Amino acid sequence: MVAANLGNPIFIGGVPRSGTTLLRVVLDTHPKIFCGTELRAVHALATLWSSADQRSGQLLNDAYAVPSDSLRRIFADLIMSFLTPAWAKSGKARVAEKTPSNVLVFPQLHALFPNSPLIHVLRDVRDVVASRLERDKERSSSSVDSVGLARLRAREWADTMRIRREMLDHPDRSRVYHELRYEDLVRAPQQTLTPMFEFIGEAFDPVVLGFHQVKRNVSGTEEWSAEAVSRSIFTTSVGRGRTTLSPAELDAVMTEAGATLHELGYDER
Amino acid sequence: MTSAEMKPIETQPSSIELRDPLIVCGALRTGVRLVGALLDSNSGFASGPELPFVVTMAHQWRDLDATLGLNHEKHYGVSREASREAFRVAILKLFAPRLIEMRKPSFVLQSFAAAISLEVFGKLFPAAKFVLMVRDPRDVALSLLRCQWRNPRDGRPLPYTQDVQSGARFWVEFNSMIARSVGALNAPGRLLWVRYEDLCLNPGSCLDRLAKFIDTPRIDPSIAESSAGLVAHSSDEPHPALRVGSLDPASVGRWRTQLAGRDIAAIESITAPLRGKFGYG
Repeated sequence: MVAANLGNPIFIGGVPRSGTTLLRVVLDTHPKIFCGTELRAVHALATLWSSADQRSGQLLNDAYAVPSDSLRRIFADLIMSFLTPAWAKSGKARVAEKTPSNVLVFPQLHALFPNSPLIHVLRDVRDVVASRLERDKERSSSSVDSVGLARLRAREWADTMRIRREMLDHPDRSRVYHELRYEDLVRAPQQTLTPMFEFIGEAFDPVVLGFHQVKRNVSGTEEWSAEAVSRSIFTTSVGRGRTTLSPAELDAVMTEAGATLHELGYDER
Repeated sequence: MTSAEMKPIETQPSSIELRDPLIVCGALRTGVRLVGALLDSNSGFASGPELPFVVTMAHQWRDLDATLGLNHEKHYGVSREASREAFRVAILKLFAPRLIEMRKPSFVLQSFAAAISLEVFGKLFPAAKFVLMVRDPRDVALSLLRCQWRNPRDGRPLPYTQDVQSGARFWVEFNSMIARSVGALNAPGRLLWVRYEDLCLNPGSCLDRLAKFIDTPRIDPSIAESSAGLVAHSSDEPHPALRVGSLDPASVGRWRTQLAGRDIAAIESITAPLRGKFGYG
């Protein structure tokens, strides 16, 4: 990573329940990085920009003298208008934004912020689905079609992997896209975080491992993780899907996402 | 680089004041583009082709404000007013280069869809005024028959361009939404109704009324070719302009001679209650 990236926001994304909140609090604990609670606006704004550029870009250029790069900067400024006040108040040098759905617009975010690091948090689909099903059931007042939900959640996970493939194929990939696995993060945090911090142009600082000692705001889907990030890193959630999902739920997950799981190098047993 | 050093990207010289636009809106075939072209030709306003995504942006602001406004205020220090201003400025920056080019201070946003979102635009642009176009549904239905408009998704002709009954129902549906939208805006001094018929048959007095409403000197009824061409510039939306020409008195009441009696009866039956409310007997 080069110095040119330092002024650009860092975007974190990943399917919900993949460890994005954990990474967010780790980053926010770093002395140089502000990463507040979920903004939940980036996906919508990036999508709107992309649509406007595709459908009206020529018209804007020809009739309004607004070339594509100007439109890009208008939307980039709009997104930054939401991040800048809290970032300025933090007094920190860098800003990062974590909302899980950011991953779905990584290609658009790269176009909007060409020098911004994009960090994708990956996790075994079985563990993701097990965690999401737990929340789905908690939130539902009636019985749920857990197999159907498992299939849906696995499909959503697979959707993010399509974005992953797109980013891996991108010519700028090594400069702007980094992925880390939840399993690696909790089993070997310093080994996993050090290259990530190098990627974004910062040194690893052991203070980040004390993230749980910092009282902070959570909102949105982070509320699911509030308890988990109020204690030090633990590994007991790794592999839970294989034991907590029913055979039918597991079968649904593997049907939807087994091939991709294999592609990612996860043990499918 | 700290946040203090990361300045907003300028897309226009700081000498341009970003004023809330004049919004000209109304159902299809009511003269929205015509008024846009008139103002672009003859006043301190510049206009341009319709930008449908601007309506989407306005709705995006409304949705974010409704669902996340308090969250952003609490966790990001972005007040709801600041959020509104950010969206407002982002949209106005789109018009700034055109205003600089035309050396004009204000922009006319012409948009059909804005007519059914008056409350959103009214809040997003607190100083904006609205010109709402209406036209006799019988002439609208006749005019729609001339439009070779197709759904961009499947290429099929748009239903309301195929027969007068569909055109009449479209007029009712759209103008019903407009009526509700006007109620939601609830700002009488900010809205001026303009009848297409008055514009074409009595342009002098109609344009005087418009000029007074937007606080501008007299508006000449001529339309410059460049303005007409610009305003009618096609986008990929399904409603490209047929032609924006001069004010044409002959376009008023064409239904009397160009529609069959049974078609007139059908339109009148479908549009009866609302037609009366809009002043068309």
